[in-house]
Amino acid sequence: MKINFNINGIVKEVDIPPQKPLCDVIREDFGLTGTKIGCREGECGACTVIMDGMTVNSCLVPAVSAEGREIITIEGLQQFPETEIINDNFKKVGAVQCGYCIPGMVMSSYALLKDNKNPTEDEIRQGLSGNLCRCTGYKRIVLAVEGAARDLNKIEGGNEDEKH
Amino acid sequence: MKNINGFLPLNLEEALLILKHSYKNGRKVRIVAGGTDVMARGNGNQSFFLDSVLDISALKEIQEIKTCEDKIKIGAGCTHAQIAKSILLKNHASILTKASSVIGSPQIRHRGTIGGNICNASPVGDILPSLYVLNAVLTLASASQKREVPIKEFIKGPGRTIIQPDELLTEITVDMLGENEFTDYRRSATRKALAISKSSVAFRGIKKEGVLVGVKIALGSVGPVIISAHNCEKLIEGKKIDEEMLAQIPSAVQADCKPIDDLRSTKEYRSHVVGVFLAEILRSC
Repeated sequence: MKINFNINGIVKEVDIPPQKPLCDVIREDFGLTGTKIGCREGECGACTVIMDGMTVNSCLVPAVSAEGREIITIEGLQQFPETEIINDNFKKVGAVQCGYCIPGMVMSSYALLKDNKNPTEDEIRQGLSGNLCRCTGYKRIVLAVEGAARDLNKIEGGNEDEKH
Repeated sequence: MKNINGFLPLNLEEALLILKHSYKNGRKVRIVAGGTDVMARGNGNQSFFLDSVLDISALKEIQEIKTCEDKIKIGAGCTHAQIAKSILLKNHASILTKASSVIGSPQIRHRGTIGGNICNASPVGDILPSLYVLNAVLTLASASQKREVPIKEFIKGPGRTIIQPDELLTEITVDMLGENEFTDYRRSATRKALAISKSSVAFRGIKKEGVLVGVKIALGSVGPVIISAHNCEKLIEGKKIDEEMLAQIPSAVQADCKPIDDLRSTKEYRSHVVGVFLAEILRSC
Protein backbone atom coordinates (compact mmCIF):
# COMPACT_ATOMS: atom_id res chain seq x y z
CA MET A 1 0.00 0.00 0.00
CA LYS A 2 1.35 3.43 -0.93
CA ILE A 3 1.25 5.71 2.12
CA ASN A 4 2.25 9.38 2.41
CA PHE A 5 4.19 10.23 5.52
CA ASN A 6 5.06 13.59 6.97
CA ILE A 7 7.81 12.99 9.49
CA ASN A 8 9.60 16.04 10.89
CA GLY A 9 8.33 18.00 7.90
CA ILE A 10 9.82 15.57 5.39
CA VAL A 11 7.07 14.30 3.09
CA LYS A 12 7.66 10.96 1.42
CA GLU A 13 5.56 8.23 -0.17
CA VAL A 14 6.47 4.71 0.87
CA ASP A 15 5.10 1.41 -0.46
CA ILE A 16 4.72 -0.88 2.57
CA PRO A 17 2.22 -3.24 4.23
CA PRO A 18 -0.54 -1.18 5.93
CA GLN A 19 0.01 -2.88 9.27
CA LYS A 20 3.73 -2.06 9.45
CA PRO A 21 4.22 -0.33 12.82
CA LEU A 22 5.09 3.36 12.54
CA CYS A 23 8.21 2.83 14.69
CA ASP A 24 9.64 0.54 11.99
CA VAL A 25 8.73 3.02 9.25
CA ILE A 26 10.55 5.76 11.16
CA ARG A 27 13.66 3.66 11.71
CA GLU A 28 13.82 1.64 8.47
CA ASP A 29 12.20 3.80 5.80
CA PHE A 30 13.26 7.20 7.17
CA GLY A 31 16.54 6.11 8.80
CA LEU A 32 15.71 7.97 12.02
CA THR A 33 17.01 5.76 14.79
CA GLY A 34 16.43 8.12 17.73
CA THR A 35 13.04 6.48 18.23
CA LYS A 36 13.76 3.33 20.26
CA ILE A 37 11.86 0.08 20.31
CA GLY A 38 11.39 -1.73 23.60
CA CYS A 39 8.31 -3.90 23.87
CA ARG A 40 6.23 -3.53 20.68
CA GLU A 41 3.07 -3.63 22.78
CA GLY A 42 2.62 -0.12 24.15
CA GLU A 43 3.97 -0.83 27.62
CA CYS A 44 7.37 0.89 27.68
CA GLY A 45 6.98 4.19 25.78
CA ALA A 46 10.51 4.05 24.29
CA CYS A 47 8.98 4.55 20.83
CA THR A 48 6.91 7.62 21.82
CA VAL A 49 6.48 10.19 19.02
CA ILE A 50 4.12 13.12 18.62
CA MET A 51 1.34 12.66 16.05
CA ASP A 52 -0.90 15.64 15.29
CA GLY A 53 0.24 17.25 18.54
CA MET A 54 -0.31 14.23 20.80
CA THR A 55 2.09 11.63 22.15
CA VAL A 56 1.51 8.11 20.84
CA ASN A 57 3.30 4.77 21.04
CA SER A 58 4.59 4.46 17.48
CA CYS A 59 4.71 0.65 17.81
CA LEU A 60 0.89 0.66 18.07
CA VAL A 61 0.25 2.96 15.11
CA PRO A 62 -0.20 0.99 11.89
CA ALA A 63 1.43 2.73 8.92
CA VAL A 64 -1.97 3.26 7.27
CA SER A 65 -3.11 5.44 10.23
CA ALA A 66 -0.23 7.85 9.69
CA GLU A 67 -1.39 8.93 6.21
CA GLY A 68 -1.91 12.69 6.17
CA ARG A 69 -0.80 13.22 9.76
CA GLU A 70 2.10 15.25 11.10
CA ILE A 71 4.64 13.20 12.99
CA ILE A 72 7.48 14.56 15.08
CA THR A 73 10.24 12.27 16.31
CA ILE A 74 13.00 13.03 18.81
CA GLU A 75 15.15 14.29 15.90
CA GLY A 76 12.43 16.71 14.80
CA LEU A 77 11.87 17.88 18.35
CA GLN A 78 15.38 19.38 18.43
CA GLN A 79 14.22 22.32 16.32
CA PHE A 80 12.19 23.68 19.27
CA PRO A 81 13.94 25.86 21.87
CA GLU A 82 12.03 24.10 24.69
CA THR A 83 13.75 20.84 23.81
CA GLU A 84 17.20 22.25 24.48
CA ILE A 85 16.05 23.34 27.92
CA ILE A 86 14.59 19.91 28.66
CA ASN A 87 17.77 18.21 27.40
CA ASP A 88 19.98 20.49 29.53
CA ASN A 89 17.96 19.73 32.64
CA PHE A 90 18.13 15.98 32.03
CA LYS A 91 21.93 16.33 31.79
CA LYS A 92 22.27 18.70 34.73
CA VAL A 93 20.58 16.47 37.31
CA GLY A 94 21.91 13.18 35.95
CA ALA A 95 18.54 11.87 34.82
CA VAL A 96 20.14 9.73 32.13
CA GLN A 97 21.76 6.41 32.88
CA CYS A 98 21.66 3.81 30.09
CA GLY A 99 19.70 6.33 28.00
CA TYR A 100 17.43 3.93 26.14
CA CYS A 101 14.19 5.40 27.50
CA ILE A 102 15.33 9.01 27.18
CA PRO A 103 14.06 9.87 23.68
CA GLY A 104 10.59 8.75 24.79
CA MET A 105 10.95 10.54 28.14
CA VAL A 106 11.91 13.78 26.39
CA MET A 107 8.94 13.47 23.99
CA SER A 108 6.52 13.01 26.91
CA SER A 109 8.18 15.79 28.93
CA TYR A 110 7.87 18.16 26.00
CA ALA A 111 4.17 17.30 25.52
CA LEU A 112 3.50 17.63 29.26
CA LEU A 113 5.16 21.06 29.53
CA LYS A 114 3.32 22.30 26.43
CA ASP A 115 0.01 21.56 28.20
CA ASN A 116 0.97 22.42 31.75
CA LYS A 117 3.51 25.15 32.51
CA ASN A 118 3.66 24.47 36.26
CA PRO A 119 3.14 20.75 36.79
CA THR A 120 3.17 19.35 40.32
CA GLU A 121 5.29 16.29 41.04
CA ASP A 122 2.14 14.19 40.77
CA GLU A 123 1.25 15.65 37.40
CA ILE A 124 4.79 15.02 36.14
CA ARG A 125 4.61 11.39 37.26
CA GLN A 126 1.23 11.02 35.54
CA GLY A 127 2.47 12.75 32.40
CA LEU A 128 5.42 10.34 32.23
CA SER A 129 3.45 7.28 33.36
CA GLY A 130 3.56 5.80 29.85
CA ASN A 131 7.36 5.75 29.82
CA LEU A 132 9.27 3.11 31.72
CA CYS A 133 12.83 3.59 32.96
CA ARG A 134 14.60 0.63 34.51
CA CYS A 135 17.71 2.54 35.65
CA THR A 136 16.95 5.75 37.44
CA GLY A 137 13.99 5.04 39.69
CA TYR A 138 12.42 8.14 38.10
CA LYS A 139 13.46 10.52 40.88
CA ARG A 140 16.00 12.43 38.79
CA ILE A 141 13.78 12.39 35.73
CA VAL A 142 11.06 14.11 37.76
CA LEU A 143 13.67 16.61 39.03
CA ALA A 144 14.76 17.29 35.45
CA VAL A 145 11.20 18.06 34.34
CA GLU A 146 10.67 20.30 37.38
CA GLY A 147 13.88 22.14 36.48
CA ALA A 148 12.86 22.45 32.84
CA ALA A 149 9.47 23.90 33.86
CA ARG A 150 11.25 26.50 36.05
CA ASP A 151 13.70 27.45 33.29
CA LEU A 152 10.96 27.68 30.66
CA ASN A 153 8.88 29.93 32.91
CA LYS A 154 11.93 32.16 33.52
CA ILE A 155 12.41 32.59 29.79
CA GLU A 156 8.74 33.30 29.17
CA GLY A 157 8.65 35.74 32.08
CA GLY A 158 11.77 37.39 30.61
CA ASN A 159 10.16 37.77 27.21
CA GLU A 160 7.12 39.33 28.79
CA ASP A 161 9.32 41.81 30.64
CA GLU A 162 10.85 42.79 27.34
CA LYS A 163 7.40 43.41 25.92
CA HIS A 164 6.45 45.80 28.73
CA MET B 1 5.67 -9.03 6.95
CA LYS B 2 2.44 -10.27 5.41
CA ASN B 3 1.38 -8.28 2.35
CA ILE B 4 -2.28 -7.46 2.76
CA ASN B 5 -4.75 -4.84 1.60
CA GLY B 6 -5.12 -1.63 3.54
CA PHE B 7 -8.12 0.71 3.53
CA LEU B 8 -8.36 4.22 4.96
CA PRO B 9 -11.93 5.39 4.23
CA LEU B 10 -12.70 9.07 4.84
CA ASN B 11 -16.42 8.62 5.53
CA LEU B 12 -18.69 6.06 7.13
CA GLU B 13 -20.53 5.12 3.94
CA GLU B 14 -17.27 4.19 2.25
CA ALA B 15 -16.19 2.14 5.28
CA LEU B 16 -19.45 0.17 5.32
CA LEU B 17 -19.17 -0.54 1.58
CA ILE B 18 -15.66 -1.89 2.06
CA LEU B 19 -16.99 -4.22 4.76
CA LYS B 20 -19.89 -5.29 2.55
CA HIS B 21 -17.73 -6.09 -0.48
CA SER B 22 -15.09 -7.86 1.55
CA TYR B 23 -17.75 -10.01 3.19
CA LYS B 24 -19.29 -10.85 -0.22
CA ASN B 25 -15.89 -11.84 -1.61
CA GLY B 26 -15.01 -13.94 1.42
CA ARG B 27 -12.16 -11.68 2.51
CA LYS B 28 -11.76 -11.27 6.24
CA VAL B 29 -11.18 -7.74 7.51
CA ARG B 30 -9.40 -6.63 10.66
CA ILE B 31 -10.90 -3.32 11.74
CA VAL B 32 -8.43 -0.95 13.41
CA ALA B 33 -9.58 2.11 15.35
CA GLY B 34 -6.79 3.31 17.67
CA GLY B 35 -4.69 0.19 17.19
CA THR B 36 -3.76 -0.07 20.87
CA ASP B 37 -5.08 -3.62 21.14
CA VAL B 38 -4.96 -4.75 17.51
CA MET B 39 -1.31 -3.77 17.02
CA ALA B 40 -0.21 -5.19 20.37
CA ARG B 41 -1.65 -8.55 19.27
CA GLY B 42 -0.77 -8.33 15.58
CA ASN B 43 2.88 -7.25 16.00
CA GLY B 44 3.79 -10.71 17.21
CA ASN B 45 1.30 -12.62 15.09
CA GLN B 46 0.82 -11.37 11.53
CA SER B 47 -2.10 -13.73 10.89
CA PHE B 48 -4.11 -11.59 13.30
CA PHE B 49 -4.38 -8.97 10.53
CA LEU B 50 -6.46 -11.43 8.40
CA ASP B 51 -6.80 -10.57 4.67
CA SER B 52 -7.04 -6.81 4.99
CA VAL B 53 -6.85 -3.96 7.45
CA LEU B 54 -9.61 -1.36 7.60
CA ASP B 55 -8.47 1.76 9.42
CA ILE B 56 -11.44 3.74 10.76
CA SER B 57 -9.42 6.46 12.49
CA ALA B 58 -10.26 9.07 9.81
CA LEU B 59 -14.06 8.76 10.18
CA LYS B 60 -14.99 12.14 11.67
CA GLU B 61 -18.68 11.11 11.81
CA ILE B 62 -17.99 8.69 14.66
CA GLN B 63 -15.78 10.99 16.74
CA GLU B 64 -18.41 13.26 18.30
CA ILE B 65 -20.02 13.45 21.74
CA LYS B 66 -23.47 15.06 21.84
CA THR B 67 -26.76 15.11 23.73
CA CYS B 68 -29.98 13.75 22.30
CA GLU B 69 -33.03 14.37 24.52
CA ASP B 70 -32.22 12.73 27.87
CA LYS B 71 -29.36 10.61 26.48
CA ILE B 72 -25.76 11.18 25.49
CA LYS B 73 -24.47 9.82 22.21
CA ILE B 74 -20.78 9.01 22.01
CA GLY B 75 -19.17 8.24 18.66
CA ALA B 76 -17.44 4.85 18.72
CA GLY B 77 -14.26 6.48 17.41
CA CYS B 78 -13.90 8.85 20.38
CA THR B 79 -10.58 8.35 22.14
CA HIS B 80 -10.24 7.77 25.88
CA ALA B 81 -8.47 11.16 26.15
CA GLN B 82 -11.38 12.87 24.39
CA ILE B 83 -13.88 11.23 26.76
CA ALA B 84 -11.75 11.96 29.84
CA LYS B 85 -11.78 15.68 29.13
CA SER B 86 -15.31 16.06 27.74
CA ILE B 87 -17.16 18.72 29.76
CA LEU B 88 -20.51 17.27 28.68
CA LEU B 89 -19.62 13.86 30.07
CA LYS B 90 -18.00 15.32 33.18
CA ASN B 91 -21.29 17.07 33.97
CA HIS B 92 -23.72 14.32 33.03
CA ALA B 93 -21.91 10.97 33.08
CA SER B 94 -18.84 11.59 35.22
CA ILE B 95 -18.23 7.88 35.78
CA LEU B 96 -17.17 7.60 32.14
CA THR B 97 -14.65 10.42 32.39
CA LYS B 98 -13.28 8.84 35.56
CA ALA B 99 -12.96 5.38 34.01
CA SER B 100 -11.44 6.74 30.77
CA SER B 101 -8.85 8.81 32.59
CA VAL B 102 -7.23 5.77 34.23
CA ILE B 103 -6.90 3.63 31.11
CA GLY B 104 -3.35 2.73 30.07
CA SER B 105 -1.14 5.79 29.80
CA PRO B 106 -1.33 9.20 28.10
CA GLN B 107 -0.05 7.64 24.88
CA ILE B 108 -2.67 4.86 24.99
CA ARG B 109 -5.49 7.30 25.82
CA HIS B 110 -4.57 9.49 22.86
CA ARG B 111 -5.24 6.60 20.47
CA GLY B 112 -7.43 3.93 22.10
CA THR B 113 -11.16 4.32 21.47
CA ILE B 114 -14.34 3.53 23.37
CA GLY B 115 -15.58 1.47 20.40
CA GLY B 116 -12.38 -0.56 20.39
CA ASN B 117 -12.66 -1.23 24.12
CA ILE B 118 -16.22 -2.52 23.60
CA CYS B 119 -15.53 -4.67 20.52
CA ASN B 120 -12.47 -6.16 22.19
CA ALA B 121 -15.02 -7.50 24.71
CA SER B 122 -12.43 -8.26 27.34
CA PRO B 123 -13.73 -9.00 30.85
CA VAL B 124 -11.03 -6.57 32.04
CA GLY B 125 -12.06 -3.77 29.64
CA ASP B 126 -11.69 -0.64 31.74
CA ILE B 127 -14.62 1.28 30.37
CA LEU B 128 -17.15 -1.55 30.24
CA PRO B 129 -18.49 -1.66 33.85
CA SER B 130 -19.36 2.05 33.63
CA LEU B 131 -21.19 1.48 30.35
CA TYR B 132 -23.21 -1.33 31.96
CA VAL B 133 -24.48 0.91 34.77
CA LEU B 134 -25.26 3.70 32.27
CA ASN B 135 -27.49 1.26 30.30
CA ALA B 136 -25.39 1.70 27.17
CA VAL B 137 -27.06 0.86 23.87
CA LEU B 138 -24.82 0.23 20.87
CA THR B 139 -25.59 1.21 17.29
CA LEU B 140 -24.33 -1.32 14.77
CA ALA B 141 -24.38 -0.19 11.16
CA SER B 142 -23.95 -2.10 7.94
CA ALA B 143 -24.32 -0.84 4.36
CA SER B 144 -27.95 -1.98 4.31
CA GLN B 145 -29.24 -1.48 7.87
CA LYS B 146 -28.75 -0.15 11.37
CA ARG B 147 -29.64 -1.90 14.63
CA GLU B 148 -29.44 -1.08 18.30
CA VAL B 149 -28.32 -3.58 20.93
CA PRO B 150 -27.89 -3.19 24.71
CA ILE B 151 -24.25 -3.73 25.69
CA LYS B 152 -25.19 -6.71 27.84
CA GLU B 153 -26.59 -8.56 24.83
CA PHE B 154 -23.69 -7.48 22.62
CA ILE B 155 -20.90 -9.10 24.63
CA LYS B 156 -21.23 -12.88 24.75
CA GLY B 157 -17.96 -14.04 26.28
CA PRO B 158 -14.29 -13.11 26.55
CA GLY B 159 -13.51 -11.55 23.15
CA ARG B 160 -16.86 -12.67 21.73
CA THR B 161 -19.60 -10.32 20.51
CA ILE B 162 -22.61 -10.60 18.22
CA ILE B 163 -21.21 -8.14 15.67
CA GLN B 164 -21.48 -9.40 12.08
CA PRO B 165 -18.56 -9.29 9.61
CA ASP B 166 -20.22 -6.51 7.58
CA GLU B 167 -21.11 -4.37 10.62
CA LEU B 168 -19.36 -1.51 12.36
CA LEU B 169 -20.04 -0.20 15.86
CA THR B 170 -20.74 3.48 15.23
CA GLU B 171 -22.31 4.95 18.35
CA ILE B 172 -22.86 4.36 22.06
CA THR B 173 -25.93 5.86 23.70
CA VAL B 174 -25.83 6.24 27.49
CA ASP B 175 -28.12 7.62 30.19
CA MET B 176 -27.64 11.20 31.26
CA LEU B 177 -27.33 11.15 35.04
CA GLY B 178 -29.92 13.00 37.10
CA GLU B 179 -28.84 15.68 39.55
CA ASN B 180 -29.25 13.54 42.66
CA GLU B 181 -27.62 10.51 41.05
CA PHE B 182 -24.37 9.28 42.46
CA THR B 183 -21.77 7.23 40.58
CA ASP B 184 -18.30 5.95 41.32
CA TYR B 185 -15.69 3.75 39.69
CA ARG B 186 -12.77 1.97 41.33
CA ARG B 187 -10.17 -0.47 40.09
CA SER B 188 -7.25 -2.33 41.54
CA ALA B 189 -4.12 -3.03 39.53
CA THR B 190 -0.44 -3.67 40.16
CA ARG B 191 0.36 -0.05 39.36
CA LYS B 192 -1.75 2.94 38.45
CA ALA B 193 -0.66 3.27 34.83
CA LEU B 194 -0.30 0.64 32.12
CA ALA B 195 -1.65 -2.19 34.22
CA ILE B 196 -4.61 -4.40 33.48
CA SER B 197 -7.13 -4.36 36.32
CA LYS B 198 -7.43 -7.21 38.81
CA SER B 199 -10.96 -6.19 39.61
CA SER B 200 -13.13 -3.12 39.19
CA VAL B 201 -16.47 -1.76 40.40
CA ALA B 202 -18.87 0.66 38.74
CA PHE B 203 -21.63 1.98 41.00
CA ARG B 204 -24.78 4.01 40.36
CA GLY B 205 -27.60 5.00 42.70
CA ILE B 206 -29.94 7.80 43.69
CA LYS B 207 -29.62 9.32 47.17
CA LYS B 208 -33.06 9.64 48.68
CA GLU B 209 -33.83 10.32 52.34
CA GLY B 210 -30.64 8.73 53.61
CA VAL B 211 -30.85 5.57 51.47
CA LEU B 212 -29.83 4.59 47.96
CA VAL B 213 -32.41 3.57 45.38
CA GLY B 214 -32.13 2.55 41.72
CA VAL B 215 -28.84 0.88 42.60
CA LYS B 216 -26.86 -0.55 39.70
CA ILE B 217 -23.53 -2.26 40.15
CA ALA B 218 -21.27 -3.75 37.47
CA LEU B 219 -18.09 -5.67 38.20
CA GLY B 220 -15.07 -6.07 35.92
CA SER B 221 -12.37 -8.78 35.86
CA VAL B 222 -14.31 -11.15 38.14
CA GLY B 223 -16.00 -13.31 35.49
CA PRO B 224 -15.89 -14.19 31.77
CA VAL B 225 -17.86 -11.02 31.01
CA ILE B 226 -18.78 -7.91 33.00
CA ILE B 227 -21.09 -8.97 35.82
CA SER B 228 -24.26 -7.16 36.89
CA ALA B 229 -24.11 -7.67 40.63
CA HIS B 230 -27.77 -8.36 41.37
CA ASN B 231 -27.20 -9.75 44.88
CA CYS B 232 -25.23 -6.68 45.91
CA GLU B 233 -27.84 -4.41 44.31
CA LYS B 234 -30.62 -6.10 46.27
CA LEU B 235 -28.66 -5.83 49.51
CA ILE B 236 -28.15 -2.08 49.14
CA GLU B 237 -31.40 -1.00 47.46
CA GLY B 238 -33.50 1.16 49.80
CA LYS B 239 -31.60 0.09 52.94
CA LYS B 240 -29.91 2.22 55.52
CA ILE B 241 -26.13 2.19 55.12
CA ASP B 242 -24.88 0.95 58.49
CA GLU B 243 -22.31 -1.50 59.83
CA GLU B 244 -24.83 -4.33 59.76
CA MET B 245 -25.47 -3.89 56.05
CA LEU B 246 -21.78 -3.38 55.24
CA ALA B 247 -20.99 -6.65 57.02
CA GLN B 248 -23.17 -8.53 54.54
CA ILE B 249 -21.34 -7.20 51.47
CA PRO B 250 -18.69 -9.96 51.23
CA SER B 251 -21.29 -12.74 51.00
CA ALA B 252 -23.34 -10.82 48.41
CA VAL B 253 -20.14 -10.29 46.39
CA GLN B 254 -19.36 -14.01 46.64
CA ALA B 255 -22.80 -14.82 45.23
CA ASP B 256 -22.31 -12.45 42.28
CA CYS B 257 -18.67 -13.03 41.21
CA LYS B 258 -17.14 -15.87 39.26
CA PRO B 259 -13.48 -14.90 39.43
CA ILE B 260 -10.55 -17.02 38.28
CA ASP B 261 -6.91 -17.37 39.32
CA ASP B 262 -4.52 -16.11 36.69
CA LEU B 263 -1.15 -14.40 36.34
CA ARG B 264 -2.57 -11.10 37.53
CA SER B 265 -4.40 -12.14 40.68
CA THR B 266 -6.24 -14.83 42.62
CA LYS B 267 -9.96 -15.60 42.99
CA GLU B 268 -9.88 -14.73 46.68
CA TYR B 269 -8.15 -11.40 46.22
CA ARG B 270 -10.41 -10.36 43.36
CA SER B 271 -13.68 -10.88 45.30
CA HIS B 272 -12.19 -9.46 48.49
CA VAL B 273 -11.21 -6.22 46.75
CA VAL B 274 -14.65 -5.87 45.15
CA GLY B 275 -16.16 -6.02 48.67
CA VAL B 276 -13.69 -3.45 49.97
CA PHE B 277 -14.43 -1.10 47.06
CA LEU B 278 -18.20 -1.40 47.54
CA ALA B 279 -17.93 -0.64 51.27
CA GLU B 280 -15.68 2.36 50.50
CA ILE B 281 -18.13 3.67 47.93
CA LEU B 282 -21.09 3.29 50.29
CA ARG B 283 -19.25 5.02 53.13
CA SER B 284 -18.30 7.91 50.84
CA CYS B 285 -21.75 8.65 49.45
